Amino acid sequence: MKKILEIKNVSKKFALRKDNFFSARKFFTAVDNVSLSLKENQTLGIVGESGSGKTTLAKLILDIEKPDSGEILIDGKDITRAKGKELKELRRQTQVIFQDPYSSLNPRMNVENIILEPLQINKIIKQEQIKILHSLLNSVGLPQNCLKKYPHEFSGGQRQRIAIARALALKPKIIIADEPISSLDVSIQAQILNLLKQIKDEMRVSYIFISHDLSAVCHISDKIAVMNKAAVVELAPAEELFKNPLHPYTQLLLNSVCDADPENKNDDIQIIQNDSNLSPSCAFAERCPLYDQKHCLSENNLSEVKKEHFVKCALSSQKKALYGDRNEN
Amino acid sequence: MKFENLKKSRTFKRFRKNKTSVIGAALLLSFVFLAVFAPIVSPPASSDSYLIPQAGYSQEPAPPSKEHIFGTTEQQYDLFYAIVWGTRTAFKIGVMVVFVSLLLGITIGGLAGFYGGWIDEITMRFTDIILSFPGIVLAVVIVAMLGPGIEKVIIAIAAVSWPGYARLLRGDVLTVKNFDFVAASRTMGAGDFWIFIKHILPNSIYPVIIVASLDIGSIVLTAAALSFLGLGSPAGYADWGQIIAMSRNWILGTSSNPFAYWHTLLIPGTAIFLFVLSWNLIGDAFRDILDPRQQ
Ligand SMILES: Nc1ncnc2c1ncn2[C@@H]1O[C@H](COP(=O)(O)OP(=O)(O)OP(=O)(O)O)[C@@H](O)[C@H]1O
Ligand SMILES: [Mg+2]
Repeated sequence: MKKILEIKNVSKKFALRKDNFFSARKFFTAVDNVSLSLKENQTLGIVGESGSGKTTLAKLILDIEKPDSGEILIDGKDITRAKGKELKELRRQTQVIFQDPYSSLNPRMNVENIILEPLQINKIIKQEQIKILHSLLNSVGLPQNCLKKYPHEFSGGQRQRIAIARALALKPKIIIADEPISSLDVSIQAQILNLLKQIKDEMRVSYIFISHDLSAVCHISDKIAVMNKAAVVELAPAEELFKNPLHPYTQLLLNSVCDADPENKNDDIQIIQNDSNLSPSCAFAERCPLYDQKHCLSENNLSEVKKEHFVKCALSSQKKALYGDRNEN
Repeated sequence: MKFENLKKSRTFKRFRKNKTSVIGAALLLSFVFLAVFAPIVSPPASSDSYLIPQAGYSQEPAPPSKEHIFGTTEQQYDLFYAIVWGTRTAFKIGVMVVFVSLLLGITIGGLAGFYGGWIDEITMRFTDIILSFPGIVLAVVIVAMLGPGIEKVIIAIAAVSWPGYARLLRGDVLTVKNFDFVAASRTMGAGDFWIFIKHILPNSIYPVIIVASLDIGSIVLTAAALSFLGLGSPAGYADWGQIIAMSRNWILGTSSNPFAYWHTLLIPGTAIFLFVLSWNLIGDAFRDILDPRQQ
């Protein structure tokens, strides 16, 4: 299968507010040297705790923010360097569904105008617009009589359906879903997940599915990237990641999902606070149960420990010995 | 018992609030009526209907009488005619100033908030400078430079009132531009103009329009002050401020009767007072409605 998206060594820093006029500007690294790729009709899940840079990465792919360094190739063309017509064409290829369906729909536009907006911007002819509009309503399961209603007249799940219809209007190749279900009722979450799955099969789109909830991601993803402190710390096929998590941070995430029963918790992975001024080391060192000064260096990179299974931890093999494979437990 | 009291006082307050805004609206409506039907209420004598007819050339004001129900002021200008057509002038000035200053404020504040960076920095420092002067002083300076005249007064007041609207709008634009629907629109390929017109303005413009409209009362007051200083309309033009200016020499009356010329000051003064009052009453009601703490 063809690679539809390739992210190569992308970094993004944000300038922080200065303490006073004379102090030097400080920077916060939100995305640090991230490389990922996505194939046609595949789903890449991105998990990580709040503040790990997931949304920033999505914004970089969507060209809402510009990266400081690195390349983002959509269908082989670098969106960070594209201009004019080519840029507009590339932007069409990636559309987005946001977490908060209240902020993602303009409250002063009715459903018809919301869904037609992408078509109007791209100057699609009128008759075509109407056809697309009605078929989109069908595919996302909205009634035809809702066109003149405004966003506040809908529930969260329905609003998310409107947002999905809008994202599909331009027939994009990639849809980035940034926590699309985390603000919804549990009962509605499954419906929206199924809708996304169904759309993937029908329209052959690729997804980037962002979440801090591993269990939702595993339902829908082919491949999962785990992010911590601006960097990807582990990347593996979904099943492999669940069976065989290598990075201590991934294990921490999985543990918090799988062992709902507190008594059942693995004693080795409790919240650990190492000394916070450790010598230059891996970004996860402060919370790592395996921290050791010799191996945990800041320059450690993602390395392939198994086929298609990458991890950013020099101790991964020792760790395997410590925890054993998850299947054996 | 205590609860009953509380409830009573609250309903009472609400009722009172309601009543004052109703009075304001009624007052304002009668002014609108007067302005619209000015040609019927007080038919113009000459081709320029804003020119107040004169009944003779004597300096001394005449008290209210059958022919001149509000009397005449200095140089026999008919007060009733001046008040009726002055209503039109007041609305003309108010609406024009609001229109011009909103146009300026929305464009400048909108661009500053939307683009941020140095555009924002420069325009906001500029508004700081204008806002640091008392508006009327600055307006006097501007009219003094441009020369007297109604249009000049409109330009001067608009020039000192847009910064407030620009700042108000800028704040809302800063909030709205961070909403996800703006980001989504960008990914669809929308340009700045589309986003500004379709998303930013519709979600930020209403408060500033309401606030600016409610300022018509104080705008008319400022215009009257400029006219009083001789910087407004030409002599004989139906304009409340100028009528008050004409009464300056007659405020003290005669030595035997200090109130001999009361009508020259009191009648146009009352007109301005009621006009400003009506806007303020409505404004208070609107401010309560718009106040987020009360919702
Ligand atoms: N425009 C910005 N200016 C400064 N800092 C920013 C900006 N945008 C994001 N950040 C910072 O970058 C970090 C990563 O933010 P991001 O929104 O990407 O996290 P996230 O993984 O999506 O978290 P969440 O799960 O809460 O959505 C955060 O610490 C945030 O404060
Ligand atoms: Mg996020």
